[in-house]
Amino acid sequence: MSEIKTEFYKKNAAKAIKDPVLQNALFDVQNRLGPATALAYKNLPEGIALRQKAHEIRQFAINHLDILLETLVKKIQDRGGKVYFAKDADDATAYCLKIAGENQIKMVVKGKSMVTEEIGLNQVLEANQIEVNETDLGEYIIQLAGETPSHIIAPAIHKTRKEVAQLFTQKLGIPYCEDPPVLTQAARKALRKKFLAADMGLSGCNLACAETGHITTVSNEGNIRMSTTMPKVHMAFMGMERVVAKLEDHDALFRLLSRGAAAQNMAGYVSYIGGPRTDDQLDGPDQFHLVILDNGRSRILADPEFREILLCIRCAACLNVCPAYGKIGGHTYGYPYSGPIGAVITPLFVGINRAKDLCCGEPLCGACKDACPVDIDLPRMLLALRAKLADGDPKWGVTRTNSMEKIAFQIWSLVIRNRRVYDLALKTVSLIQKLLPKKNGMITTMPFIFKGWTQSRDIKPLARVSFLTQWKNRKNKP
Amino acid sequence: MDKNKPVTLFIQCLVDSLYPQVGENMVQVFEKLDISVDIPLDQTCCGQPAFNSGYRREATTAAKRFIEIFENSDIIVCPSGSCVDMVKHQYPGLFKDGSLWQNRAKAVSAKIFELTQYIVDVLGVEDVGACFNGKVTYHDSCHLLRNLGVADQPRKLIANVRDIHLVEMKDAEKCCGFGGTFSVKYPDISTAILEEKVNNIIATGADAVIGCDISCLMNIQGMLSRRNSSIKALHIAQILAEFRPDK
Amino acid sequence: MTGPINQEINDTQQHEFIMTIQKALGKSSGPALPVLFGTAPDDLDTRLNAYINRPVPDRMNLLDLFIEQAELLNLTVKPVENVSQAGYAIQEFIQQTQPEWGTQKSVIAWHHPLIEQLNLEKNLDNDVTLFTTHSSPTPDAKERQEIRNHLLKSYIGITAADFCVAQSATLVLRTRPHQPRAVSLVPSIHVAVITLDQIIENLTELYFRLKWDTEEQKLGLTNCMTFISGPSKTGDIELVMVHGAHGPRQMIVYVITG
Repeated sequence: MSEIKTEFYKKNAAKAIKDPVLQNALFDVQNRLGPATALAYKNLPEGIALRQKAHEIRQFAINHLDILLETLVKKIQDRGGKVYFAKDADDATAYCLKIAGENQIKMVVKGKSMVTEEIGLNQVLEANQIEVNETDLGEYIIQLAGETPSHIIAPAIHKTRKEVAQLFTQKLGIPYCEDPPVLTQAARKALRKKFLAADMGLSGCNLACAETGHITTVSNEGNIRMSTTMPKVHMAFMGMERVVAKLEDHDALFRLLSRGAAAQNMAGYVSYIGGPRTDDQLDGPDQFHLVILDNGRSRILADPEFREILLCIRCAACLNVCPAYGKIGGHTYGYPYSGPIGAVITPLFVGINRAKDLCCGEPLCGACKDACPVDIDLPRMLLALRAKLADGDPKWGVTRTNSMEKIAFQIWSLVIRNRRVYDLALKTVSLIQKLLPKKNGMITTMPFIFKGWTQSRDIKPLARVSFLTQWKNRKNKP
Repeated sequence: MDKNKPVTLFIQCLVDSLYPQVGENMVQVFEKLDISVDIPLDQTCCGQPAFNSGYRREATTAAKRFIEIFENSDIIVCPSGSCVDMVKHQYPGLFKDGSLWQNRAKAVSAKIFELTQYIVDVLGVEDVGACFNGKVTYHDSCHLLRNLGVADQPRKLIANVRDIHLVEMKDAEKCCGFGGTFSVKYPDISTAILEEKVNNIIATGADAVIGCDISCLMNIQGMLSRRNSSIKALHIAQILAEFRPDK
Repeated sequence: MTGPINQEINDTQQHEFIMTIQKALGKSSGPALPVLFGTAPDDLDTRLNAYINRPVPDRMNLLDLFIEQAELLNLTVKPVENVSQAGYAIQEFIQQTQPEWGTQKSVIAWHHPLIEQLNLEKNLDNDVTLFTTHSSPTPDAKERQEIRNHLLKSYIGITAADFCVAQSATLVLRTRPHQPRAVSLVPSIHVAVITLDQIIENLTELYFRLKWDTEEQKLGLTNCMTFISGPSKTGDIELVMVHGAHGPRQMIVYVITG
């Protein structure tokens, strides 16, 4: 189970905002990928309408998830693959340990997989004396640094080339050099040894195809191909919702995924894997295991309000345009899933109260919905989560977070119902405002929760006469 | 549609209580266009602040009041994209499917427009005869842009203001960091987002930033003031109400 | 590894898992929907015919599109008129290039009808060793290890392909006997040889043919089908694009147009 640090959202946000290196890195990512993705969608032959089609494909898959999974599993099993249905994180990692034990696995190589972060797989393996080697360059870098990923697609984006150079000199013993090609070459050389010596390869699954009975893996580096071709055993982990029905569904989805993730036409490598090496083949793993994970997804599936979040294909397009993420970075979200997708799914996974800052701590600008290749209405679900926090919800075990705020809004709802009472309230506020410090006619400090505003901004005091009062007076003049 | 039909104005709580000048300017613009306005004196708030914070019951109270006050109007015009979005897209969902209140909400949501949307798309007017000597830049408010699809209309109106010079800022469509109660509850993040916006505004060298949503402008103005900047944050109604002497 | 009791436990676990999903969806178990995977389109034969019997000028247009898209990916495409020219070009390429590690020049090639026609053994320089991946019907561990050793010594891997998708400059490789996956992956340079008629337009056409063409249906996707769009790359350090991550650093495709 991944560590949960969602309670530190505000604290970590403040820290992130003060970190100039991180700020530059985040700005860079968003500046490059945000607008490029929008343009890439527009340049599709079908235009942005393709996103709606992708939405329907994924919605269909979710609505028929039981049949699709059964179909997928049968076909993989017919080819000699093994499938394990894991209820939760512990169930999944236990299975991995079991197979590792049966095969005397000492060392594994791993492609980037959010699901394996979610279940805390690396920690479990290492605790059982199995060496884990992350092979995606970004994951490799942060593994060497002992950190967690800050972005779903580019996990080490918060590290400068200088920091990577220092890290590689320290951990790999190479001469200091900041040139990315040289650093990449060093990683290539170091990891090649691991690929060739590893007993087991671990991967995620991008989008399985039920019809043909394959999982798919996607990368640009070739590390997932290496991890799933060279070792004797391949184990893939898949969130249960990551499937489409028909082969041709991948047409729209792979094209959109590549554009959403990195503004490219197509990722460098896509592999359809449906089973272990056959007797007449020269290479490929002797064993193929697919672990299908629930870990809270069936609960989300059962709620029509949130079922839509299961359409997500983890491309990180939403991260690349989110103004909040752009300032606070991935670590602030306190769980592997960050950005707008993290803001919705993490509360649903770890507890809505526990992760309340994730779904309340963004301005709801809607850029994520526009960027999402499958057109998921993230703002709608954020609002739904906020409603549960405001009034509680027994089904999701949510308790009201702020009784004072509730009372304040209740009073507010009484006041706005009656214009006379409202005018009285305005007069009262006006009187209070007279006591507040000002500069050039603007209030510079406000009390209580409102000092959040005035810590960086002034605010205009209420007008002496409201517009409606002026209008009324004008109408009443003869 | 009879283009000179009288319109009912929903002023918006922030305009009413903080920036009455904007309301005044809006009336002047309609007068110029020879359209009579009706302004219900009972109006208060569309309910958005409660809704965005998750208080749906309280937002529904506001919605019902709004519907009662405005449902007998033919056309409702409002100088705020976020309020129009609230009424248009969120009101129906506050009520039970098929209920009478939902039908009433749907009826109202069909006839509410944002100011520039109304002038350009419905009235077909792109030049209201305004004049403003200065360099300006334009901020796209989130709900107006993404939920109502309004981006060209304000720019067309601005382009036809005599003597004005419009310079686009970097990332005009990026959020200003207001987000309602977000701005006071998560001030660090709100401030960080706002700083980028304000820096982009200053970088244009403009004398004023124009917007169609007073909440964004209030946010931006707040930081400009804190930084002792002379840049003004103006609602588009304020620009459009500066009329050319000869017209 | 999985005995009868384990199998039963697995089956129960699967059953429970699926039941949980059905409960969440609010439906009870039932027969699979007939339209889940799509019925054959009415214009199936016409479309397949148009794809398979594409006129040469259209094929040449697709080649141009492939070349255009390939350039964006640092993928080299070299049209050649016939198989012998391809053979000579590859020989020359081997002469001009050096291994990434060490000095010994070894090259590994798929055992494949098109690659055999290249006549590589005859034309290579003396200092170059050529390995091919011909194997016995059910290669045992020793044989597979030998091939792996050859693979690790080789700095160029030569393969054919099933299809080439022009719109994204993607080669499609399925896995067959005598044609290990690692040949297009482990050596520093990947050389692929295809014929003009293998170039298709886009993913839509690819999936259509794989799904509905009876010849393709016989083979299916196989247990491993790989899409390769150019040499390996990464942008993980400061978003700077570097060509040559873990897969091949360089890739070149020879297209036989004659």
